[in-house]
Amino acid sequence: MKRLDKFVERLHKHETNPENSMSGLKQMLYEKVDDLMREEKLSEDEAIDKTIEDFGDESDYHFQNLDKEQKRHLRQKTIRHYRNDLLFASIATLLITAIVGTINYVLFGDYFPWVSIIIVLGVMFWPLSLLYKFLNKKGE
Amino acid sequence: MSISSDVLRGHLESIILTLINDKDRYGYEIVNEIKKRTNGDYMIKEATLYAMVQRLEKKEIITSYIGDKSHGRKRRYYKITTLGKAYLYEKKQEWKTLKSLMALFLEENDEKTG
Repeated sequence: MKRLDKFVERLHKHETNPENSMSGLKQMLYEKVDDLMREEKLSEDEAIDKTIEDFGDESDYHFQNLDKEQKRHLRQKTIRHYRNDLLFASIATLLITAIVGTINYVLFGDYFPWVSIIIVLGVMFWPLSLLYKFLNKKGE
Repeated sequence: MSISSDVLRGHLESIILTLINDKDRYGYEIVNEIKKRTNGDYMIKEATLYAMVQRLEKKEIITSYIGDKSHGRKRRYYKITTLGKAYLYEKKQEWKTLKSLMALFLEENDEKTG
């Protein structure tokens, strides 16, 4: 059952006082492992695998443990995080565009900057994908 | 037809309380009972169940105790409290009101379309 203990401990690693919550969850998961071994004739390893697999989404578990105010705070924090990512990607893209443009001008002079345009178009997908994620998160 | 988990999420508390009200149950038994009664159309994850029973225990709607040793290990059973019974009664009344309200619109609509 060590693997199950580690799984539960990992779930609670950010909590300041997880003992109570951890022991209850461990108990519930041990019970499931026991039942799976008895009813479905699984080996202990198979039962533990199935228990961990069936457990559900970790973020869902944490999210449901929070009260309304904490959920609101967490949501705002996530959106702030996405906005910072977007800002960083946009500035970095501008810098890369400027550098590539300069190199293009130095190397090729007055020729049309095909190489720069292709590189910049590629780099632009970085902030665009983050913008997509940010808007999706905001709309949830 | 499988049931949207979002629709049921708001009523999960009532479902769990009803099952515990029938008899004291342990965690995996609740999961299995929901699966059995819905013919596998709805399955609750342990992550959801555990978060919910913790919240209900904190509100003193249910309480838990370690049962006698059975099948190798002692199990933690959940039991509804008197406060929980009153809460469940309220939830049932709420559900009846909601059901008649929805019937007023959806069933009337069925008659027109059907």
